[in-house]
Amino acid sequence: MTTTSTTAASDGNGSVIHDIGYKPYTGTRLGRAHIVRALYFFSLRAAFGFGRSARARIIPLATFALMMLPAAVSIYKVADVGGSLPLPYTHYAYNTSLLFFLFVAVAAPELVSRDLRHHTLPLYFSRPLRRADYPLAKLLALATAIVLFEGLPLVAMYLGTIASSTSGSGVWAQTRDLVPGLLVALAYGLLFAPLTLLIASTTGRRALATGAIAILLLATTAISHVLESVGTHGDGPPPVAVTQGPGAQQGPDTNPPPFKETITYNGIARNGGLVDPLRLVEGTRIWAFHATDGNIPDPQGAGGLYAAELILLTGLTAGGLYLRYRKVGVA
Amino acid sequence: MSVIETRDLGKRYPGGVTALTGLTLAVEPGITGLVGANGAGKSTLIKILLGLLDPTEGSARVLGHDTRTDGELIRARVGYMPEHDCLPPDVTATELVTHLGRMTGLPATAAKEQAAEALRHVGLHEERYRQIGTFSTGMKQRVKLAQALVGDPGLLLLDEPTNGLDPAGRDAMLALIHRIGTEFGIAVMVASHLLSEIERICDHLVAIEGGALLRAASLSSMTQNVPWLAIEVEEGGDRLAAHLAAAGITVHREERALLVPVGSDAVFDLVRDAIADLGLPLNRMEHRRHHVEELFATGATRTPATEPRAAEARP
Amino acid sequence: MSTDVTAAASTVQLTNTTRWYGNVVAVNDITMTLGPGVTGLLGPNGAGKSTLLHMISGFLEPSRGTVTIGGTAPWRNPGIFRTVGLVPERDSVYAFLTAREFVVASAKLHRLPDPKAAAERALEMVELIDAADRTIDTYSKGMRQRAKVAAALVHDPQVLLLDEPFNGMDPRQRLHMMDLLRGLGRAGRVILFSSHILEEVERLADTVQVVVAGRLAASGDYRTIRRLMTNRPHVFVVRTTNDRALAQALIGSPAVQGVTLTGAGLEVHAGDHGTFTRQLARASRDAGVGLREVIPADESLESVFAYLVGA
Repeated sequence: MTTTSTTAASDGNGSVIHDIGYKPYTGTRLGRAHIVRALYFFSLRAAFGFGRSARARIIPLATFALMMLPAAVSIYKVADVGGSLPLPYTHYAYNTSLLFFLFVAVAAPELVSRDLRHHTLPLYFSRPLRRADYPLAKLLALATAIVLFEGLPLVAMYLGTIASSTSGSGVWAQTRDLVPGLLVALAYGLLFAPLTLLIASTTGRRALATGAIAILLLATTAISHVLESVGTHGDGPPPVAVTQGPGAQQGPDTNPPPFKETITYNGIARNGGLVDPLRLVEGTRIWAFHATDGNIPDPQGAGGLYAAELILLTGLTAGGLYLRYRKVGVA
Repeated sequence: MSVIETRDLGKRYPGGVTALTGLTLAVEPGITGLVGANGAGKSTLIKILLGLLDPTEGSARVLGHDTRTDGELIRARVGYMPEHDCLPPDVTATELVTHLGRMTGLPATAAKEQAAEALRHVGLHEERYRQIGTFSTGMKQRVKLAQALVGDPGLLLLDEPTNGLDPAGRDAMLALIHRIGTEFGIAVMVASHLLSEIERICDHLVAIEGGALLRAASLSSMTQNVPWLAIEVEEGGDRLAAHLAAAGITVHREERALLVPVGSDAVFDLVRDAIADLGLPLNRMEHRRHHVEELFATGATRTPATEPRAAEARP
Repeated sequence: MSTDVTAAASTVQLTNTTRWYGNVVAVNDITMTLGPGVTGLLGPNGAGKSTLLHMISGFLEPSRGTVTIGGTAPWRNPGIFRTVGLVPERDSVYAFLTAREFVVASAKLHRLPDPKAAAERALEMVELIDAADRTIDTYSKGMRQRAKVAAALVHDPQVLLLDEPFNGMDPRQRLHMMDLLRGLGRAGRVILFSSHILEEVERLADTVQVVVAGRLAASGDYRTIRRLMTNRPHVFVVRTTNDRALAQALIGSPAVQGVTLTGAGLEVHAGDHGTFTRQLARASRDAGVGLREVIPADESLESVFAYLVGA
């Protein structure tokens, strides 16, 4: 069963028993930095389902493939008809958010819940790592995964679009538009990684963690939508053109005036996004870039609040994650 | 050079629980058994030795490093095999041990090679490419041992390594541990509550009770021969006793055996000849010795080992 | 507590007892009699030991065959709880109670006339008086076991069943529990405990019942069981003043199947135990060899068990 300890021997004529007993390891031993890096790459692969059975890859890769779809369509449209991108870089993430929710609700538990469920942590902590290294590696890995998830479609779209571009200024314009989009992807990574990992780290049951994350993200989205509707006011019914009767205007130059309605948002609508992590990023983007094409009501004065909460939430959830792993037992 | 050294080691938790107190011991290279410490005491000691917990008093050194300041250095050279289940079921043994090899600081290729060797040494062959969830308890324990071995540790801390194993599996695991401790040049500390295991494979023993050291000694000093020879004959015990007494030998009767004070060669020959003359079936003639268990016998059960046990009345 | 009892009233008798769960036959046609004293129920994990204990304590009905205690079946017989105490394996204690509260509650459940006094006696038997007022969730595993035993002893049962009672106990607690059970067995109670740790069974049990995969492989004293295995040669380790000379003498005997000279003495495989043990001393004398030690190497419960399971 186990290696039999047969002593090495040789008869001088070519017949030999080789010594394959235990040999001490005299090679290099890498330090903490390398170990954390190894754990980082391991976790990054795990976020996309690699390193386990093929079944684990289905959702990550399927959602990623679907993420690429709008990019493909946009590239085709620009190549075919020209003009601007149907889905701008800065809107990409917001409009594909459901795919993102699915991806991250599955990836975060994959990274931390499994180790909790199978009580694998003592095997890590009895090694030359510090307590904080484990959550750090997981955090960086998930953040990277999210940035890749959101950023690669943008890059693909960019490359596809400039390929069919005819002028240098067109390329420059695309590049200029890409950058804020990538920054949005980065913000997603920073905000959602610690948040979802913290939730996932409370339970070893992956399904539970996935459910909790999904519910949180969907619920906050729903709530912020409701708040937006509640805080939206139009200013009365649109004017109707009179074409018959006493006040009627005749003639070819008397077209009915264009439909116009003024929509205003009150404080509830503007600040409602603070409860929703998606809108947190979007609101910060609007505020930081003075964007006029927001998917959500312009926070205006509260824009700084969005940015502040973004940073605060990131810090708090990361801190919570660190605290969570300080208490884990070894023996 | 001691493998583990503690000086007045103590740990008191905020809630008031004292897990360790005034523990001073030195563990030499070889196979050492850790016995008696259950629950809080054992896990606290292990955490301190791995540099994961600071003691409230005293100090500890492992492989020459101070646990308070050199925790990482210690963990790079100590292999730990936890008591409870800790293996993910959906990876293969090779993948897991390789990954953990990298977590110990081995470069990628070295981790693969060391993992393969560790799995070979613990006796896992083609099974290693199967998922751990399909393994029997015995195989899982071997994987746990392999991951402790993968970084070529100077010290192995094994916590109840035969947990959940059937007798055949226990034998195999104990034989493996014995080989590691004697042939591989790795110091081993085995925590176990089964004294027979400790007696079987350990050279030294550390017994802890109530968080303090009860006894630290070599096994040989604790299982020394006691000056009695126990003779078991399948029948005719009384005749033999009478015969020996007539020859001037003191005989104590036990339930199953006759006890005779060990003396010169002449005594041995007298006994042999008595049995031969009477034609009795000799099943056992054994030097009584101490057992580790005696350390834990309470006043009521303690028979001084130098005294023969009284014949026990049967209901 | 009263200690005199009619043995017949508490004898546990299983006759062709079988229990299945769907396709799994947990206990397969077991017939055994348990009398006063300590009996060890030994077997690998999953062999059916827990099922047996639950059938004897009346919690499970046999699918076939009968189980009786003192002639009455325990199933659906609440009266049996006066005679039987069960210490289950799982942690079935309420962690928020103190040991005293827990044992008193057990006493009240048994409708004892003086539950507090009975509880005190039980707690004293298991030596838990000092810690009796702490809540059970502060206890070590060994102390929890003792609390369970106290609760099972509080009504002074004649039959005590324990499922893996030494789990998690440190050596001192184990020795103490063994003394307790030994004492109870000597007083005439029927004690049955299950274990898969041979060391424990060897130490404590007067009789052993070996269960393998639901079947009763052997009963009785393990040394006697070993003698019954006549198809396996007995292994002896013999140390002498002249190993080789004795080896030469022994190999000539038909009772001996094999002799090996090891560094530590002679290893003899004797096909005929009775003949060999009678010949050994004579053969040594005739060969002029002094005997220093004779040790039956495979007479331990461990070897016996290995042979039984392997069969």
